[in-house]
Amino acid sequence: MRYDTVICGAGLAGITAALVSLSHGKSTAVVARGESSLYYMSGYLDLCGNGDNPWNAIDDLAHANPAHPFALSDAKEKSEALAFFVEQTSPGYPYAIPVDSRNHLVPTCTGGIRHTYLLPANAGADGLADRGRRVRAIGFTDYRDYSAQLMVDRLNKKGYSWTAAEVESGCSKVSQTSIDLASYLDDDYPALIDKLRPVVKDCDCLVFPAVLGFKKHRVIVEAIRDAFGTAVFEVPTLPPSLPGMRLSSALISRLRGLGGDLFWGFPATADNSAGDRCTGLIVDTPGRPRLIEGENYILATGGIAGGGALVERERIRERVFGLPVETYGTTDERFLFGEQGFARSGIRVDSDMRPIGPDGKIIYKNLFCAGRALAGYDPFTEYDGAGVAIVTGYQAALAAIRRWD
Amino acid sequence: MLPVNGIEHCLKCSICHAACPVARANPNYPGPKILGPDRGRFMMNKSGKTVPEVEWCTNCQRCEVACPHGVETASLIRALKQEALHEKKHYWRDLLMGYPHILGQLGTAFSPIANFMLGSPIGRSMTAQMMALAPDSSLPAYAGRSFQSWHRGQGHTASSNKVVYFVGCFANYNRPEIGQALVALLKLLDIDVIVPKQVCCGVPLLSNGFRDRALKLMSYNVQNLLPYVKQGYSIICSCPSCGLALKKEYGRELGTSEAARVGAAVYDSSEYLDIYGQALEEHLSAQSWRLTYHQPCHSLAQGIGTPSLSLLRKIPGVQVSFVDGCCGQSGTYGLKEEKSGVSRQIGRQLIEAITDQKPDLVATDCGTCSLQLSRLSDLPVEHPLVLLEKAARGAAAGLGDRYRPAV
Ligand SMILES: Cc1cc2nc3c(=O)[nH]c(=O)nc-3n(C[C@H](O)[C@H](O)[C@H](O)COP(=O)(O)OP(=O)(O)OC[C@H]3O[C@@H](n4cnc5c(N)ncnc54)[C@H](O)[C@@H]3O)c2cc1C
Repeated sequence: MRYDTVICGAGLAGITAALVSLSHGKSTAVVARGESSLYYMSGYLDLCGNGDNPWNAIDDLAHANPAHPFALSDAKEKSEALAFFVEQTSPGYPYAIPVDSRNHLVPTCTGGIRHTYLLPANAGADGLADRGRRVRAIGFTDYRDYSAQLMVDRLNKKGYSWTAAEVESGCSKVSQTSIDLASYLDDDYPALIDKLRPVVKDCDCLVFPAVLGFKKHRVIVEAIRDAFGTAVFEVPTLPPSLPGMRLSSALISRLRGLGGDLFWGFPATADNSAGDRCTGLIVDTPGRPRLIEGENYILATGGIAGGGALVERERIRERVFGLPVETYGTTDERFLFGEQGFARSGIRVDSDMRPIGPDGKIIYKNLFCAGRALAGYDPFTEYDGAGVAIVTGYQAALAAIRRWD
Repeated sequence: MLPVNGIEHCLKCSICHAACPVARANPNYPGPKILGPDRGRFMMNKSGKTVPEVEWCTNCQRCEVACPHGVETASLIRALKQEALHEKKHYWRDLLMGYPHILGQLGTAFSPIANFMLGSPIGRSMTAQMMALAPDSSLPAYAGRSFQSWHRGQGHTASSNKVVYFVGCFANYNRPEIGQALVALLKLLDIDVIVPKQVCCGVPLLSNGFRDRALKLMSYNVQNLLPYVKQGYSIICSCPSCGLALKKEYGRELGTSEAARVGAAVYDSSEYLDIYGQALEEHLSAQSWRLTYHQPCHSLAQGIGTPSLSLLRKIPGVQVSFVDGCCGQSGTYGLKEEKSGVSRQIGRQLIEAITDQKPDLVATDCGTCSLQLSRLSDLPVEHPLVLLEKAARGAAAGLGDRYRPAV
């Protein structure tokens, strides 16, 4: 089988690209070594900046840094990409575009406050918009990775008046991570509601760590809402991130539902035998390698965390095509929480999302690149991780389709 | 000493833990991150301390598939199982169940007696007690005649295109229709089927910690398959666990170039037929089935995509949906008295996802998955090969002659 589009990587960028390709009627395969950064991230999908207006932040960034991936699209294209993405999430784990196109103010699990753009239906948003809201944060005595009291204490210093309460989750697991709790609640959430009865009082909003179920999330949230007549929100936890997992699983079922093929679990390298064209991905599967062939290819293998970039002592290597990596900074920068030069390293592309070399020349005619693999941005200081992945995934797929047509 | 299999690449991100069906269902199971890389780091160069919890690993390998950094969690855990072998509570039961080809020969030779012991209420309760099996487990009925015996009576076609079939115990002794369907489909493509001498692939022994004994079965199979591979034949497996073992575990466990060479020639049956998808499509008649396809974990772990799904979608008129998840059966795991609760618990979510689709029938490639799915959903369950063959046989076929386990 020869596909119209072959995508390497099943993170936000790769899956967005795959869904665009499928929605244009193109046969599409995704090859992914494993689960993506969605499992690590909060599920708060940032567009740009830690301020009220992400669109101004985008303009500022693109202005200051013409090599930024956001400089490759205008606001209209970005809005289209985000709207397309949100539509894809609606059957499984619906996200929404903010009504006024401004960032939401959201809490973090240690009582920080930050901005983000796209939120799933029950994430911590409007609890922070209104300071007078009577919010009760619930923690679990048997969940080490989350303290409701810590979060509330720190938030209240910023002018809120939340209260905290703890209940036992009832999950008697030896190793209790977010996913253990969520799986437990998938089955036994009615017991949780009984445990909550004594502690839910004087509030119109309940906030939980994001462990309210994996498969049954919607049902659980509704059950709590119905039982107490309050709003229900989740705050992201340490990894694995349930909001990210739910999103990943929703996007992947969407992909399968639209007839996309998924080759899961093994790393790919490129077959570059034909000079200026990529002729296939060679996937290192058990027994023998498997060749996946297509008309166009999209590289969306992420950065260091996603596995697309390998940091060696002297250089950073792109692992699938061996593309030239534009490298910034050094790997011995000292301050952990400051700007890290290497974070901007990655693949440089032309306006059609095709990787180019230091000489500015296109490397393969039929190769496009999207997401964290790109050069020129730092999601950890710019708050644009999800935004870049979604927008460039969308653009790369459209560019591939244009070439095909 | 434990094999290191990429421990150094582990970020401790817990993706494997999130992917583990057992960790979700069994509160006492620490999960693949702790048993694999975490423990591996502590125990490097040390041995002697065994971990009884490893017993609960089903060897579904979903942890390895999910890991974005190639850490071989499942094989780390398997090595620990070996170390804990002599502390097994049900040593003899697990050993006996590790030889399905011998049980199968007896079972088909004396199928009325065997099926009484597995199927009738009295027989079943006796078998369950003797073998420490769950009283409500669904044991597969034995066929009156094995696939191999049927195939010996078939004669060969004149075709010079030939493939080798590694039948696997389930298709051989319990459900020869699977193998017969494969032969019929390949015949349509003018491909003749050779069935060399073979024994169990070794997976049941290996996943129960009996590595040394598994190696003997593996070597026997390599010896018998290698001559054909040398002549350029492909080997087809209709059972995903046999296929994964031949492709991956043989090379790794035996460590010989012969084993690797055999592994490189192995195809899952749908993986192979999918190559001829267009030619096959011409033979498929329209059907009105509403199917849900469940991909077995060991088919997922082969990295072949979902060829059965593509093939089933080629049958005109058929609606096929896909469900993701582990059914919890894992070979003999779900039959065992102490494990059947966890096994059922794992299967429950998958069953819910399946029944949500309201199918007439479930398709899955794995024999023991089919036992679990039919037991828990009460829906008929078929191997994709059998469905494809039905569609190829011509006129619209009913789903009437459904397969039921012995219960
Ligand atoms: C810890 C952490 C927290 C974050 N938190 C946030 C947040 O709260 N909000 C936000 O907006 N952003 C956040 N980000 C940033 C954001 O998650 C990423 O920038 C974005 O998800 C990247 O998406 P991607 O699709 O480009 O890559 P990834 O999600 O990394 O996906 C890469 C994919 O490629 C596959 N792959 C890699 N190599 C190969 C290969 N050789 N062959 C086949 N497949 C391969 C991987 O298995 C994976 O499926 C966070 C990032 C990290 C690391």
